[in-house]
Amino acid sequence: MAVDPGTLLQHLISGLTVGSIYAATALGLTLVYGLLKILHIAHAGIYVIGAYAAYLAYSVTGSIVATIAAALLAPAAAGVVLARLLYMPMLGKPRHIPLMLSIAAFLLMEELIANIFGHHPKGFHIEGFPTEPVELGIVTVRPSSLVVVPVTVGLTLALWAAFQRSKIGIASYAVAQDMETAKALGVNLPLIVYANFAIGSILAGLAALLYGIHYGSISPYMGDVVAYKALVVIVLGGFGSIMGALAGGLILGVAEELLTSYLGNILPREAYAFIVLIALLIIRPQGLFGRPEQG
Amino acid sequence: MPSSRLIIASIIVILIIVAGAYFMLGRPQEPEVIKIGFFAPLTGPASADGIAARTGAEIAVEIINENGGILGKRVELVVYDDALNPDQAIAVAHKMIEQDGVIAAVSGSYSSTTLAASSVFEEAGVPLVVAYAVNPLITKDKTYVIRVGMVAEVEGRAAGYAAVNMMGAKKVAILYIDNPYGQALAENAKKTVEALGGQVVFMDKFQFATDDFSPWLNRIKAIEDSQGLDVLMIFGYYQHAVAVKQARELGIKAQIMGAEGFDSPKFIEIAGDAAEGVIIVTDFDRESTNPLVQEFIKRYKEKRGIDPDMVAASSFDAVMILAKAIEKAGTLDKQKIMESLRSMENFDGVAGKIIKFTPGGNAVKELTLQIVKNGEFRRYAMITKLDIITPSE
Repeated sequence: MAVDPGTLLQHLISGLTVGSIYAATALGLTLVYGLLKILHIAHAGIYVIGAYAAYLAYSVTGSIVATIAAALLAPAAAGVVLARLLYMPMLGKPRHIPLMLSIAAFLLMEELIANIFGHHPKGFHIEGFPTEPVELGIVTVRPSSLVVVPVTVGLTLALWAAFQRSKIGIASYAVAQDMETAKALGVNLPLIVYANFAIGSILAGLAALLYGIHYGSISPYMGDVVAYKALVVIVLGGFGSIMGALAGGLILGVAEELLTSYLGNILPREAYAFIVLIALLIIRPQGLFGRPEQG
Repeated sequence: MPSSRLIIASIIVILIIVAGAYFMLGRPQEPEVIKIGFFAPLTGPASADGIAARTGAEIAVEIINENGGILGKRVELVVYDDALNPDQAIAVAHKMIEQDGVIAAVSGSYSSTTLAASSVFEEAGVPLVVAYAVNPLITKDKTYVIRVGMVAEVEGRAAGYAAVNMMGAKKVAILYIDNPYGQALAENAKKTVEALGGQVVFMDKFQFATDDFSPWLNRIKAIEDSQGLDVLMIFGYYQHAVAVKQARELGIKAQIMGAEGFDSPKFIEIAGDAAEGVIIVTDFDRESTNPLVQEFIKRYKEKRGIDPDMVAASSFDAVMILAKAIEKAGTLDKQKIMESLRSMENFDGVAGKIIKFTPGGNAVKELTLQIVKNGEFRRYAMITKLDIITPSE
C-alpha cells in the first residue's frame, strides 16, 4: 500500500489526539502508583464520574465554565474520598488487598452511574463548539484535536515542572522512595496522599471531558477500556513517571492508529496495544522513563 | 330415621359443592384470557432496545383489547427479561411454555438470545414470532418460528441498490461491524453495487467497542481526495454514530448511508448535527399514510416521551400479526395458528407492509430509505422491487 505524506500526517494527528486522552487518564494512575505502589483501577471509575458530572452540569446549566468545573471537581472529591475510605486504611497491607478493593470500587461506580443515568450512551455536544473540519496545509484536522492535544501536553508539562519545584512534589518523591523515612522526617503523609489523588483525579476528569467533546458521546462503560489501557500506558512509560505517562500515551495512540490503519483487520485494535507493550518490555523492561527496580 | 336423613343431606351438600367447583374451576381447555409470551433484554447494556420493544408490544396488546381482543378473549402479554443472556432466554422460554401456558410468543430480543430460545419453542410446538433479530439460523429449518423483521442479506442488497440505482453512486466505501450481521450487510451491499456497475473502493471492518474510527476514516478521506467517493456505508449500531461525527469533522463529504442498526433516536442524539442528511435502510416509515402508523407513533410518544424506533415498531407488528393469524385460524390450536401465520399476505404493519412469507419463514416486506432532517427521520424513498426485498431463504 502506498503511503502518501499527507495521509501519514493525518494518521499521526489522529493518533496523537487519542494518545493525549490515554495520557491524561494514565497520569492519575502513575501518580498513585509512584506514591503508594498500588494499582488504582478505580481511577477508571473516577473518569466515568467526571464525564457524567460534566454531562449533568451542562444539561442543567448550559454553561461551559460550570461544565469544566464539574468535570474537574467531582472527580477530585471522589478521588479524595476513595483515598480516605479505601486506601489509607490499607497502607502497609499486602498490595493485592487494596487492588481487590479498587476493582470492586470501580465496578460499583460504573453500575451506580448506569443505574442513575441509564445503561445506554448519551450524546454530549457543547453548543457552539466547532464541528467543521480545519484545513491545515496538506492535512484536515478535527477541531477537537486542536484542543485535546495542546491542553493535555501543556498541562502534563506544567504538572511535571510543578512536581520538580513544589513542596508537595518533592515530598511526594520522598514518600515514593521511602514512606517510613519520609514520615520520620516530618512529611505529612495523608496530605501528600490526598493531594496526589486530587491532582490525578482532576486529570481523569479532564480526560473524560476531552473524550466527550472529541467523540460527542459518553457511556457508563467508557471506563472499561481505560481501566486496562491506562495500565498499558504506565507500563510503557515506566511506573510512577509523569513524563513516561505522557510519552506512553502518545506512543500508544499513534501506534494503534498506524497499525490498525496499515495492517488492517488482522487483529483488533486492542490487541495492537499489547503488541506494542510486549515489544517495549522485551527491549526495556523498566519502561521508557522508569528506573530498574532495586532489591 | 334421623341418620338416613343426615346421609341424604350430606350427599346433597357434597353434590352442590362438586357441581359448584366444576362450574367455577372447570373447563380448563377454554381459558378466558389468551396469554402471549414476550421476552427482551430489559436490563443491562441492551435495555434501551429491550424496553422499546416491550413498549411496542404493549401498545399492540392495548389496541387489540380495545377492539374486543382475539376470538372474543382478552389478551395478556407475559413479559420476561432475558438480560441478553442466551441461557436466561432458554430458561424464560421454558417458563412461558410450561408454567404460564402461553399460546404463542414474541421475541423482542437480539439474535443470540432469540436463537437460543427459538429451539425451545420449536421443540414444544409453540409459535414464536421474531420481531427484529437478524440471524438467518433463527428461522432456518424450523416449523414454529417466523420472522417479521428484515434479514441482513436483504438490507445489504437494498443499500447497494439504493446507492447505485437511486442515488447514482459510482464509488462506494463500506465500513462494517465485525459480526455476522455486519458481514452479511457488507457482502450483499458489495455484490449488489458491483452487479449494478458501481465500484467498491474501500471495505473494512471494525470491532463493536470501537469509538475511534480515524484509522479507517483517514484512509477513506485519502481515497475521497484522490479519486472521489459518492457513498460511505457505515454498518453498525447506534453507538457507532460517533463514526458519522468523526467522518464529517475529518472533511469526508460523501453521502453517508447506514442500515437498520442506526434506526434509533439515539443515533441522532449521539451523531448530533453530523446526522443531518444520513440515509438509512430500514422498514419503519414514519411518514406512512397507514393510520395505524400515526396512531402507534402517538401512543408511543405518550408512553415514553420519545420517538419510537424500528425495534418498537417491529415488536408491535409481531404481536399484531400473531393476533390476526389466531383470529384467522379461529382456534387456539397451535399448529393451525402456525399455518395461519405462514399464509399471511399483505399485512399492513407499522414497520412496512409484509407481502408474504418465504418458505423459510422470513418476511418479504417493503423497505424504506429514511433521511435525517432537522434531527428527525423522514421518508426519502421506498424500495418495493421484489428481487431486492425477497430473502433467499
